[in-house]
Amino acid sequence: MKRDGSVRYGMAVDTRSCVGCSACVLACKSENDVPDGHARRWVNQIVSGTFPELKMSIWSDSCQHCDDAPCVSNCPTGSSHVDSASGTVQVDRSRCTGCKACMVSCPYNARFVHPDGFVDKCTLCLHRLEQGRSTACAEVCPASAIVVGDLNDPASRVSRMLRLRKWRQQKTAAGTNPKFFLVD
Amino acid sequence: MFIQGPVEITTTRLNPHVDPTLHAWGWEVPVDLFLAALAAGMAILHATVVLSGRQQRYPSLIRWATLVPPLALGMALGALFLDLEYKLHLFRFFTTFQVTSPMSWGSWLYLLLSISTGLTALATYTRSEPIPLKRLAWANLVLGVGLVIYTGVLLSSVQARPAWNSPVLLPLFLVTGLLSALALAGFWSRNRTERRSFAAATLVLLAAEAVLVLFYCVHLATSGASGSEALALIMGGPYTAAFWSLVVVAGILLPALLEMQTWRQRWPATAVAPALILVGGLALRFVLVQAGQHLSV
Repeated sequence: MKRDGSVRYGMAVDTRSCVGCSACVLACKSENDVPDGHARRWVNQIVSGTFPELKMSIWSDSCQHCDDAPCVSNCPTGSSHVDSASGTVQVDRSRCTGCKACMVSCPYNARFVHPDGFVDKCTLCLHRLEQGRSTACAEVCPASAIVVGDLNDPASRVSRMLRLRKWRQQKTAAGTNPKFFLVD
Repeated sequence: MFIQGPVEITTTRLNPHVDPTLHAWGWEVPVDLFLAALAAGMAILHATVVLSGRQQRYPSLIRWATLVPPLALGMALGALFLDLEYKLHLFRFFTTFQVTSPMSWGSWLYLLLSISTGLTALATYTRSEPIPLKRLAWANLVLGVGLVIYTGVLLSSVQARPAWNSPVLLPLFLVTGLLSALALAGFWSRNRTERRSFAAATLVLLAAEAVLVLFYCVHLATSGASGSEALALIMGGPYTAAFWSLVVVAGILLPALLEMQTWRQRWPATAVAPALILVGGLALRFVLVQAGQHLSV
């Protein structure tokens, strides 16, 4: 990973490919030692319409690693911060007081209190990205529905996907500029 | 992308205190906000009386407004401490200053106001003035206004929660902080002249609170779909009974009626109206903190 701040990692989920198998959820729990009863990643399913005119959309969801993250600006200790090398939102456990200001300011409810007392969430597997690998969720996805990459690199798979396909972001009214895209 | 009609959402997420609705902040935060506003309100009133040189006219206010702020701030910090999930990291608040974080501003304001009101109490009760009382009064006034405004900004700056994201919360928390302070001073006041002037000030502030509550509802009603959903929480939703019975009727209308009679000298002043105002101030913060977490944009 380049360390000059030019990298801006993001995630896209192909809602046409995602089958809601939850392999990503289990891979995330295993990779990051997420405690029982808690989830950094989850699967959403929306069914709309009236029978027989029904439509279903499924996607794997997590922290949106927003460019204008309210969890970062509201953190009183600087524990929640943007990692300058990857552009991802991270939590420094040694500085977290567990005041939960970040939890109430996150419109996606993507954070939770770890049983050890700090606030936890998706790190976008930063430890793997630093080794040049993809995230655990993207690696195990049997439908290749999860794509992670550098949004600033026009040749990355995620950038190409966002150029070629229709996409949307969740809760844009919150004004957080999420780096998480649902590709329809 | 969706077909019009009913929408059914299913999620595999079930994090504690997050799902099905967020409940990150429990009883500790509204108690903390109430006590902080009470302490700040008392510090402001005390400073106003000291700076205008009217200590003789308000003996009860001077006595209680000297003692209560440092105690209430200590209890508020105690409630905040109980809310922390990683209590050993409390000191982290004071190793940094995050300019964009209202809670960081609040932590420092708590500390500074605790020191200045503590010194004021010390100077008053020991009759020694290491720092002149008027200088301390200026510090208490500025820090008190800052702290009571902070309690409003803490909630109103959260854009993700439509029930909180209203600029009306700033003046509303300022007014209710001053009301609580007047109520606590009036609770113990045995001086009829002082009590009558408290009743007059209370009536003005209760009218201001009623107008601000109305503005808050109007602001939510005109803030799009998420604002309307937030308004529905207190207009038929789960917080309707608590809001209208405890905040509006018990906290505004009944005390206004009682204080009006006290001011007109028709009924003797009792502790009922001040007690109701204190209950209303606490209930307002409980309702707002809980309702705000109920809904996101």
